[in-house]
Amino acid sequence: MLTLIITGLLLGLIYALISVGLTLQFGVMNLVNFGYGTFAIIASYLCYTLFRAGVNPFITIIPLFIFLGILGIFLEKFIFYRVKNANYQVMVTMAMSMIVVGILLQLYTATPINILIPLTYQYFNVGDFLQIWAVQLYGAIASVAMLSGLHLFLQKTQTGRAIRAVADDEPTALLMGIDSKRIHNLTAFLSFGFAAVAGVFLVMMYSLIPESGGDYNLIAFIICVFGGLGSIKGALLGGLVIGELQILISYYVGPWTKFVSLFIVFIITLLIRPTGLFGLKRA
Amino acid sequence: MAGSRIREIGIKKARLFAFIVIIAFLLLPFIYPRVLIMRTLNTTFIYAVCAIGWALVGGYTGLFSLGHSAFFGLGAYCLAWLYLAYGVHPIIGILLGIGSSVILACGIALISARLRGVYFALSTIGILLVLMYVMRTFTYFEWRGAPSGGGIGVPVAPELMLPLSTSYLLSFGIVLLGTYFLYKVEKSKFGHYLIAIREDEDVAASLGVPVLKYKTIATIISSVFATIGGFIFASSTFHLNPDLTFSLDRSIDMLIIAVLGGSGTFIGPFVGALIWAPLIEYVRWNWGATYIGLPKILSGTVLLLIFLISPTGIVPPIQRKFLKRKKHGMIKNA
Repeated sequence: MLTLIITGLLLGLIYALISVGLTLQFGVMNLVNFGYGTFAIIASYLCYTLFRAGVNPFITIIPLFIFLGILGIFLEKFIFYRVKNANYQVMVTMAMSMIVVGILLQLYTATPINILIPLTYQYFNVGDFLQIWAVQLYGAIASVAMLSGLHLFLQKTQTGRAIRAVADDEPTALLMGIDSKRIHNLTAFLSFGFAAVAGVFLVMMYSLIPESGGDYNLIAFIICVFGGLGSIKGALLGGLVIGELQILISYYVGPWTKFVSLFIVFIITLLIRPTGLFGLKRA
Repeated sequence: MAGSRIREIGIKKARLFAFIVIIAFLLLPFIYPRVLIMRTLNTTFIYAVCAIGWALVGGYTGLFSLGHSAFFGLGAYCLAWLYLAYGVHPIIGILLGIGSSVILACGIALISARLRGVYFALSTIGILLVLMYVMRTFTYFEWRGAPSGGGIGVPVAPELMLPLSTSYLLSFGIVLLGTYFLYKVEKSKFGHYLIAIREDEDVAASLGVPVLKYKTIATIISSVFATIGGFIFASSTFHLNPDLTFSLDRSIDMLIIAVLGGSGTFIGPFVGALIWAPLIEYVRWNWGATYIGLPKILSGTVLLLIFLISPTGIVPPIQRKFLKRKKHGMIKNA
């Protein structure tokens, strides 16, 4: 029982890491990204390729963060910036994720990939009542570190204040002399970078196929909706609650409820409080 | 006055053209019964029926549903699975399929009353995924001593299969009916209500349009079309699988067809199906095994290009050009 709860919390922290990029994109860039999970999967596959070439997956985290961030800047500059209508954004990002999935299928086939190394694939036993999976612990630590880093960055630095200003009110921020295009690019860099880190931890935890991106995208969206789209606090709390619920319900009811429980949470949230826990605006 | 006469001539020509096309499609199985062509066209018409359903909701009412393959799958499963597993008579199966689709459609319409845009699209994906998991988990049964259903999929009983020419004519007939229905909707008060809801729901409500009522009616009619597509699909294939019938890809196919043709025009879904369905089926069947990623890349590229270049589809620009040329002709004559 304790193992279940701790596992749920650790998984929740990793989910928070996945969702925080999505929530940043929505809050600052006004972008509804239906392909976010698939971009995380790109990082998983790159990490897997490097791992097969003999590189430790933990070393790849920072280069992949930068690589996906630059990819994000390119996409923002050439595609996202042009599409303003939310429905069209859904379609365009979904189309892009389909193209990515197709390319990944073409290059790696549909065989599931997974990275198993002794460092991550072990269990820490605390007494005989608690068992922690190493990779989940590392992922949770990374998630806490990155989320608090992001929080400090947004709260304490001048650039962070500018990002928050753009998220609050873009035209006024523009009038105050904030280069909103630069802020958009920076946000794209950060959010895609977070997706990369999440992707690396996902491939160390689970078997992935190119289409798995859609599943994680859905989870990330439900977390963001639950916590409030655009709120980092919301992503953290939403991740914890959803991770916990998913673990407990699929243990006690059956694995097929994995998405059903999430979906019920989603519908209830939207019916009772459409802005989510900490959300300020609606899509 | 003269302009309207010229338009009358344009419409007459268009009617003649449509008449010739319809006759050609109707006579095809008697004149040139090649299995490959008929099968391709049959698949095309199944896609077209579903796309007509999608266009009513997505094109006219402005609800971007991504869960329409749920109706499709319910239709196919209620016909094939209930017959094989429980011996339910096909007619009762068809009624049950339509009934369950209508109930689901009412649910989706109720969701659309509270959720707009992105949230609505997301919840339709959610419904689709939930149904897929339920079908994977709860449809197991024993058939000829072997486990069947669930993730393995359901074989279609030979008694349910229609001969190819019957299936072809049936699906073409339903496409014609559907296109005519959309044409009538476009001219009617009902259609104008739907377009008003699409353009601005709040303004429409403030002007006295019963928004929820018309959304519900549109969703129900659209679900019935998708379900009929599912019936025809089930009766012209050999095997059903939750991953292929309740798949997001199939929903996206419906969306691509409707949007490619022009989802706000009555002829759009049919034109889109004639372009897209043979193309994607060809790619899937011939190159899908050697280049597994190709169908997805193709779908994604086309979807991306449609929404970046011309979200209205290909029919409206052609219509505009056609009428413009007529206008120039009028000036020359005067």
